[in-house]
Amino acid sequence: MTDFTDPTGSGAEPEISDADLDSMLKGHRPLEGAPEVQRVADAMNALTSPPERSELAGYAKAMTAYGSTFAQPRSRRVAMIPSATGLRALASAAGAAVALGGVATIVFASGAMGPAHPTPVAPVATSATTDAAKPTPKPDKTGTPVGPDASGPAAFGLCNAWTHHQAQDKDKPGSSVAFRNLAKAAGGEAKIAAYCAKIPHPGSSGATKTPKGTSTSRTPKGTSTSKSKAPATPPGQSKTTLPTATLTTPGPVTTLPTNAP
Amino acid sequence: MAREDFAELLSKAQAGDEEAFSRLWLDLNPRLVRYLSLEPGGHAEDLAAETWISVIKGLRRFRGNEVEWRAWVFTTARRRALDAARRRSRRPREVLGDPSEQAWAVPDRSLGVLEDLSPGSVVALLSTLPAVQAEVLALRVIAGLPVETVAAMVGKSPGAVRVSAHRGLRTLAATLRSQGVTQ
Repeated sequence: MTDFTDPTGSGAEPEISDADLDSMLKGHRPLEGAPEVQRVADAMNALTSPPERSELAGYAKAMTAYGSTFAQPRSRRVAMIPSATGLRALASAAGAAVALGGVATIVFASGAMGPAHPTPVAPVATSATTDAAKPTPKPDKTGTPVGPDASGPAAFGLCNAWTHHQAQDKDKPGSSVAFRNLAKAAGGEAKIAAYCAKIPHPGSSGATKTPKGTSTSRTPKGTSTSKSKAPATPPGQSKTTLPTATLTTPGPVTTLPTNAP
Repeated sequence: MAREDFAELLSKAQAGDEEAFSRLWLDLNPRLVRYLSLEPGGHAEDLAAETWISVIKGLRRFRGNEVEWRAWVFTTARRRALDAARRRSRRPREVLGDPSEQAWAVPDRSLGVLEDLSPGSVVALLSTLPAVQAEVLALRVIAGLPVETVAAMVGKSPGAVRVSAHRGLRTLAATLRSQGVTQ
């Protein structure tokens, strides 16, 4: 790659090597460089910083849209309840239920189905469900609730609840013991989103513990490592351009609209 | 942003697993909102919501790896943003210069001050760049997309995308230098 000269000839732009420019695109500070160059690198890095509250506000709407699109036929839905979301997410959140207050109410509103479906005798294969079967932490001797351990297996459930809280009532700070525990585990309230983003799904390969009895094979990695494929045509554009079996290069994806009056 | 379990998550989300989908959403929506904040209408969150509705409709038929997933979602977002720009452009007004340069971000030189390193402030600084430079930087950095993919999205050559990104960075540095940045 050749270096680029300033076509304006003004000399107003600082000299930055191509290597440094590429480094800055990745949010890395060049080893050497003027303060403003370092600052630009910091700015690029900030673009990939952890989520802010406002950026999670659309969660409920997205999940509603997803739920309505992927709603299962009734017979199928009933059959899935004990094995999927019902026992996994809700059970993992169970540890958080006692101290969560209003948010937990939201999360567990759908958990009312629980008693109608017998809990599997053998804990299923996730650290979260295994942990959820343990007694809920009791209040300490002073009567102060201790809440769930947000750095342990209850983290996933807590994060789910916290996300619901952000989506439903983002202006009201989560003051429950559970949320305080979560904030403590995350290193501060402002870091909860980043912390939660790293918590693996209890049933995923990224789970922190490998539960006993797991016999399901992992999805093979590396379905494709291609980096240069162009994006698929966006969904909903037309029936003929919805994504098909493989992504192909469609050429320019869009044409910028004119600003004709 | 890369996930080792992406293929598994995608597969589950395509099968109706809400938790898997929520993971995908949490991974991408914050960056989507930042990217869409370049659209000057001030409706980034609404556009992101529209984007997800389209993505959900096509989710079952999507095939690809994580980079292709991001490219797909951001391409959809770009369409929503361009639709919004098109709606705005229907308002009678005088248009000067190349309209394609004005359809996306409308540079506002008064915003060329980086007050802090919050994503919002940086996006505001990006919006002071020419539209193509701003969008290329956003797609390269925020979406984490490779040059070739960005080139296909914006309808330019990979070389032109590299030039735009580099010129954008240099312009930002020059802007900050003019502000007397010392750290």
